[in-house]
Amino acid sequence: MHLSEEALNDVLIGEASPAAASHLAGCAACRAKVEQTGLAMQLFNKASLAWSETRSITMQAPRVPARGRHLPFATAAWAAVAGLLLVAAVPVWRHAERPAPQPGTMAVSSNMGAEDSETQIAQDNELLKAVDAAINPNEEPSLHEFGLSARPHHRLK
Amino acid sequence: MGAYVSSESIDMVSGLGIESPVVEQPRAVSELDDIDGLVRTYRAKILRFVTFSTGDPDLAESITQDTLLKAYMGRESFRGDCSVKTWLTGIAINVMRDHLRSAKYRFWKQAKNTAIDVHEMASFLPAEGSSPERQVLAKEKVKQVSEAIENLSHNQRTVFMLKFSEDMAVVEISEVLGMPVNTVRTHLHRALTAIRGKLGVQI
Repeated sequence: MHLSEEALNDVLIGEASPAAASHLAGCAACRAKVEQTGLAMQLFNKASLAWSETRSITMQAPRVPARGRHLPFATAAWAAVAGLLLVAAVPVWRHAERPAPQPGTMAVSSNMGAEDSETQIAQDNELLKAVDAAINPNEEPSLHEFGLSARPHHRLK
Repeated sequence: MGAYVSSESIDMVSGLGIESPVVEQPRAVSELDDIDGLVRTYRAKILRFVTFSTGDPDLAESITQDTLLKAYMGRESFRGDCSVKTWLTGIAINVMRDHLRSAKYRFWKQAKNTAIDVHEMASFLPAEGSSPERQVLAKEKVKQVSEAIENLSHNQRTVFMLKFSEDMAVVEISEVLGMPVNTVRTHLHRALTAIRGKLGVQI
């Protein structure tokens, strides 16, 4: 009398009853069945692991979102302080680095208005007049003020 | 990072669910902090388990990546009352369930269903110095087991892989799957009967 199918399965699962274990010790036929099945599963495990290892190598690394990488609290705090200092320092540095207005240069940037000198304001006004004259030639600008010759306007027609 | 395992916890990894006091040891949190290390150590094993559990190698890759990412993102929740491998397997099972339930997966199954190439898989069997004849026989056995697994139900495949590839105890499988112990045993019996039938090892 050999082991039943259920008893053989119990042996393979590792839950053999004492009676089944005792029978197995003395029955070469039942032992062969257990060994054959066990060997086939071992071979399957080896082949499937080798297969998945090869496949795993070709896979990309999982993409970890930035929030998943934990910064130590101290590092994060120091980074925040450094950022605030940088934000505060930039305007001061830019102010210090700005060259003083040179006579004869025109202030183009509107944010320099507060620092414009009287000379620069006057130059800007002269420039605006020149632009007006070019745009509206029918008006009678005082061209001589700008050192331009009073040429006839026929070229513009 | 010195979290400790409770002395009242049950050693579910090595034993068969028999309660035994576990010696307090520092938890291996550092292992979970290194995602590259997790990939190196566990990805291939998770991939194998998920591949044979779902029967779909392409889907298995996606589930494996999700599993490792979820484990890394949720590593603070690892209490150390089981091995990292068992913990990862539990996450893989949950990710797999989410995928199998989703409408996206059902659409995917209809549109594209990749199957395991058992011939290709068998060719990965290490020769280990055996003769060509023995290699052919060994590869044939691998193919037979693979084909038998493919014909099992999803639950039978999962339980079989956890027992015979992941080397988990029946009680541990029951816990990780949330399945009664007797149901696990029934699935194992059916899977083994099918595999022995395929191998020609019958009563």
